[in-house]
Amino acid sequence: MINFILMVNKQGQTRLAQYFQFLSVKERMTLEGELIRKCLSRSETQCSFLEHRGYKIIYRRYASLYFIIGMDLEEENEMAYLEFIHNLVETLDKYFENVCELDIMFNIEKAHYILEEMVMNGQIVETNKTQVLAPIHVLDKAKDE
Amino acid sequence: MSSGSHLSKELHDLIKSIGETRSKQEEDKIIIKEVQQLKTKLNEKNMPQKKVREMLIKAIYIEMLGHDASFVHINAIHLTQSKSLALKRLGYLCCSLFLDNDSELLILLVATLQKDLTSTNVHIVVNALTAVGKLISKTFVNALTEPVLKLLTHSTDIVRKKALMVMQIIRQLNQDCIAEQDYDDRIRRGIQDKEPSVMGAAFNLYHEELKKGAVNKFKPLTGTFVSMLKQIIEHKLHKDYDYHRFPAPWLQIKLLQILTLLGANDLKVSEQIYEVLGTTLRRADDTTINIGYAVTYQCVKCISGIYPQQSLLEQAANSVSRFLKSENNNLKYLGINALTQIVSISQKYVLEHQMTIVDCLESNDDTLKKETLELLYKMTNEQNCEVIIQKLIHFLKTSSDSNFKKDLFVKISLLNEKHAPTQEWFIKTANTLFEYGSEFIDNDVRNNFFKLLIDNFNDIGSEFGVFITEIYSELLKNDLQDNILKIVCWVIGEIGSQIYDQDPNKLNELTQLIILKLDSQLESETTISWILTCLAKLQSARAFQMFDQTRAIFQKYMQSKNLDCQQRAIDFYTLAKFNAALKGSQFITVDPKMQFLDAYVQQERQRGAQPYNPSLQVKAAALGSATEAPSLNFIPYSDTKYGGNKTGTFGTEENKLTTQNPSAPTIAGPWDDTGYNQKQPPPPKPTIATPMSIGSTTGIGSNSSGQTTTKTTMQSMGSGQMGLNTNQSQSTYVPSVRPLPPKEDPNLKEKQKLANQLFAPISQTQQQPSQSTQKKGITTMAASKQMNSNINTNQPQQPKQTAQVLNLLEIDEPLPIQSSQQPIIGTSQGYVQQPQIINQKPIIAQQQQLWSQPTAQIQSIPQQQIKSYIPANINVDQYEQLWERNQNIKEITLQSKIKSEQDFRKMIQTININIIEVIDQEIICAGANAESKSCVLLYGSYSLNGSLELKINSTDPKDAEYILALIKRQFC
Repeated sequence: MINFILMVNKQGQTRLAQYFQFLSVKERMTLEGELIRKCLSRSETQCSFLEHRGYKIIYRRYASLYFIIGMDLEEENEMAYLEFIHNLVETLDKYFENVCELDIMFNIEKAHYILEEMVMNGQIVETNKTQVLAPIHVLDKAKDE
Repeated sequence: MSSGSHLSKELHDLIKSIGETRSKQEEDKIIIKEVQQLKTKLNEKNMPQKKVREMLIKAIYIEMLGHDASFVHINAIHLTQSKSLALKRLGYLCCSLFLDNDSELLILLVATLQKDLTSTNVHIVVNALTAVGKLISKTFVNALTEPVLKLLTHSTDIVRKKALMVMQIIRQLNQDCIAEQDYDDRIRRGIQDKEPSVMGAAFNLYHEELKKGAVNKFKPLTGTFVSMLKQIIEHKLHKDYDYHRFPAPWLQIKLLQILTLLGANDLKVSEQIYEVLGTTLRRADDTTINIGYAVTYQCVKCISGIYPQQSLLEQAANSVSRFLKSENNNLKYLGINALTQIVSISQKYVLEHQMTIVDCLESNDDTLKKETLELLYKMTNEQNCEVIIQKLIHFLKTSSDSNFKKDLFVKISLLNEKHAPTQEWFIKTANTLFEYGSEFIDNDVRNNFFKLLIDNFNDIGSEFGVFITEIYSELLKNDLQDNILKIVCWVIGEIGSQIYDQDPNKLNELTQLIILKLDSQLESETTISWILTCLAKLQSARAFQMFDQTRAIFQKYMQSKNLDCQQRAIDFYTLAKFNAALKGSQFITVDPKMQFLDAYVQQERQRGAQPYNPSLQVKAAALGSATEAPSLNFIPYSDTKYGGNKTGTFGTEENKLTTQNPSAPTIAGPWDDTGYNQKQPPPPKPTIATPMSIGSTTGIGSNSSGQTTTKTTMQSMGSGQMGLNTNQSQSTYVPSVRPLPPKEDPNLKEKQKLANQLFAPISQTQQQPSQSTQKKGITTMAASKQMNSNINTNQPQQPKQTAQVLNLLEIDEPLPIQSSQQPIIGTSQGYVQQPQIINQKPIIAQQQQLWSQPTAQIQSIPQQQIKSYIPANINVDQYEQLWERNQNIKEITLQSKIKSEQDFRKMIQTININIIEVIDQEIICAGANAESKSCVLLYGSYSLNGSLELKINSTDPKDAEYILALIKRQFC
C-alpha cells in the first residue's frame, strides 16, 4: 500500500504531505528531509525508484517540485505508481489550469481533497479525472452559493 | 488561480512569505511568530467560521512544517459540525491530518460521522465516507459499521465506491464486524457494479483477500476477471478512464495482479488466463509510453507467476529484452526485475542479456545496481558462483550503505555455503566476507560458520585442519577486528590444538601469536574471553610447553573487572595447575583389595553384619540413578533398549552413520561456542537423540554385554554379529567384590562418542591419560591414510569425501549451535577429576566387574571412537588374578611392524598402558580405560618376522576391539 504522498520543493520545503499511516510530526520532518536529500542527489538519468527506511520510494520531479510516493516494499509495479504521480499532476493541472507550486500552496486543502479522492486506505481508487474532480467542483459550487 | 486572491490578505501574506523563504531558519521564524499570534486569537469569542477556516489552514502549514498546532485540534473537530459543506470538509481534512488514530479527540467525531453518514445530502455522505476512511479506529469501528454497509447499495456510484473502501478498512480493523460470507457477497456485488469506478475499487478488496491467501474460494471468479480485463483492453470503458489513450491502465494492472494470484501453480486456472494475458501484453507492448511499460511489466510478472506457458514466456522474454536494451534507467530497472522473475522459471533467458547485466552492475545508479545484485543472486549456480561472489564482494567493499551491505553480506554467505567450488575457496571467501562485513558478524553467523568448519573437519580430517589452521594463524599476524579475531581464536583453539597436539614448536608458535593479541587494541572485553579460551584449549594439547606464560596471563585476568573474563581466567588457571600436576604425577600403588579392612570386616561379620551383596548394591544404584540427576547415572541401559532390538536396523543405521551429512539434525554440536566439549567430557546433558547414537550402538564390534564378546576382531567387524549380540545382551552383571565409585554418566559418553564419530577420520589415535581429554595426535595425519586401507569400517567414508564436502556446502539451514558461556564449570570438574582417577587406579580390577557391563550398552564403533587408557600398576599375581576373572579374551595373530621389544614397547606406550613383565618375546601389560576404568589386560608375543600374537582380555569388549584396531592401524 501507499504509506505517504509528499510534495517537496528543491529547497526541501514540504508543500503537501499526506500520510496513510500515522507518523509523529518529528518523524515526518526527518523522513521528508532525508527523502528530499536522496532525491536531489540523484541525476536525471538515474531511475526514479529507491529504497529508504523500509519504504519503496518513487519520485518524479516537476519543475522545482518533487512528488514522492512511499510504498510498502512488496508493492510490485513501480512504473504504475510513477505514472500515477503523473496522473495526479495532470488532475491538479486540469483543476488549477497550469498548476504551479503556488497553486498548491494557496489551495492546499484542495490539493488534499484531490488526493483524497484518488487514494483511499493507501490504494489507488480513482484515476478517472472527471470522477476525481466531480466532488471538488461540488464543494466549490456549494461555497459560491 | 495561483494569485491566492480568494484568501484574506493575512493568510495570503503568510503563505507568500513561507513560499519566499530560502532557509529552514527563516521559515521557522515565520511559523513560530504565527503560532504565537494564533494562540492569542484562540481566546476570541464567537469567531466567524471564515476565520476558523483560515486558522485551520494556517495550522495545516504549521504542522506540515514541523511545528505543533495541537491547540487548534479542537477547532477542527468543531468545524466538522458546520452546516457549510466546504467548511465541514475542511474540518474533516484537518482532523485526518492532525489526529493520530489513537487520539482521544476522535471519539468526539463519532456522533457527527454517524449523523453525516445517514444524511440525505449525498455530498455530506461522500464527505463523511472520505473522513471515516481516514479517521476510523478500532475503538469505534462498531459504531460506524452499519451505516457504512448500508451505503453499499446507495444510488450514487461515488458513495458505493467509497463505502466499499471503508468496508475494507472496517474488516482490517475488526474481522468480526462483517461476517466472511457477507463480506464476500458484498465485494462480489462490488465487481458486478455497472459503474467501472465502483468495480475498480472492488478489485482492491479482492486483491487484498487473495494476498491474504484466500485463493481457492475466489478461483471460480477467474472467468469474470478475465472477461473484465478483456473488456477493458477492448476499450469498452468510457474514454474518461483512458490515460494517454491507454484504456484504464491501473485497472488492468490490478486485474493482472489478481489473476497472477489466482493462476499460481494451477494449470486449469492459468489456461483460462493465457489468451487474455497474451492480448494484454501485445497491446501494451505496442505502445511506447510509460504506462504501457507498466502494464507490460505486470504482464511479465503474471506470466512468470502463473503456471508457465512456453509461448507466453517467449513473448515476455522479448518484452524484457526491450526494457533491458533501453537507455532509460527506469525501463532497465523494470527489465532487471522482470528478468529476476523469469529466471525463477528458466535461466536461459539471462544469457542473451549478460552484457546488459554487467553494465547495470557498473551503473552509477545504486537502485539499479541493487536490483541487479538481486538478479545475480537468483541466477547463481555452481558454474558462475565464483564470478558472482567476487562481484558481490566488490560491492561489499565499496558500498557505504549499511542496509545494502547487510543484504550483501547475507547473500554472499548463503551463496558461498551453497555453491563454493572448493573448501579452500569457501574459507577464503568467508574470510574476505568477514573482513569487509565484520559489523554484521553476530552469534548466529559465527556459530553457523564454526559448524561448517567443524563438519568439514570431521569429514575431511587433518588435511583440512592443517589447512585452516595455517590460514588462520597467518591471519593472526595482521591487525584484526575483534569479530574476526574471535573466529581466529576459535579455529586455533579448537582445530589448531588438535592438529598440532604433539608438535611443541607449532603450539608455541600459535600460543605466542595468540598471546600477542592480548596486547593489541581490542574493542571489547569479550574478545579477551575468547582469547583466554583459546589459550586454555591450546594448553590442553599434549605437547604444550608454555605453561608459565599462560599461567601468568590467567593470573592477570583473574583481576579483570569483566566478570566473564575473570571467571574464565580463574577456571583456566585452576585447570592449568592440574595439568601441571598431572604431568608430574606418579602412580601410587594402592592395595586393590583393601586387605587392611579384612580384620574389621571379619569383626563386623561376627557381630552379625550382613555380608556384602554386590548385586543389591547395583540394584540400589540403578534405582537411585533413575531418579537422580543424569550426572551420576549408575544404571546400565537395559539390554533390550540398545543392543538387542536394533538388529533389524543395523544395516541402514550404519549407512546413515557413515553418510551422515553435516546438516544431519541430530548433532547438538560436538562443541559449543567456547569449544570445550572436544577436550573433555562434556557436562552432562540430555543425550542427543538419534539415528546417530543408535547407529553407534549397533556399530561394528559393539557388544551389549561384556563377557560374551566375539572371539576375533574380524568377526566382530562383520555385520553378522548383531544376532549374537542380541543373545548376549540378556546376560547380567558379573558380581563385583565391592561397591565402586560412581561411574561417569553414560549420556556423557554417548555425546563423546558422537563427537568421536564426527571426528572419526582423524581421531584414531589414543589419548593421553594425563588429560582425560580426547586428543588427536599429529600421528593421525599419517595414520588416517593407513587406516583407510586397513580398517574396513572407514572405507565407506573415504570415497565420499568430495561428496560430503559438496553436501556440506549445500547446507541451507544450519543448526543453531549452543551458546557460548556454558561449560566453564563443567570443564573444570572434568579436569579436577583426574587426580582421583589416578588414585583409584588399582581398584580397576574390581571396578570392571561391576561397571564394565553397564558401560557396554552405550558403546559405539570402536574404530571411530577415541578411548584413552591409563596404566594399571599391578604385579604379575594381580595380573593373573584379573586374567582369570575376565573372560572377554580376544585372540588374534597379526602380521605387524613389530619386530623387537622396542617396537612392542612403543606400541604399548601408544596405547598408554603398562608393561607388567617381559619374558623373552612375550610381554604382558595392563591398563584401564581412563573413562570407564574398566580393566584391559594384554598379552602379546612378537617375533622377528613381524608376526604378532595378541590376547586382549578386557572387561569391556570394546576396549579390546579398540586397542586391536589401534594396533592394526598403526603397527601393521
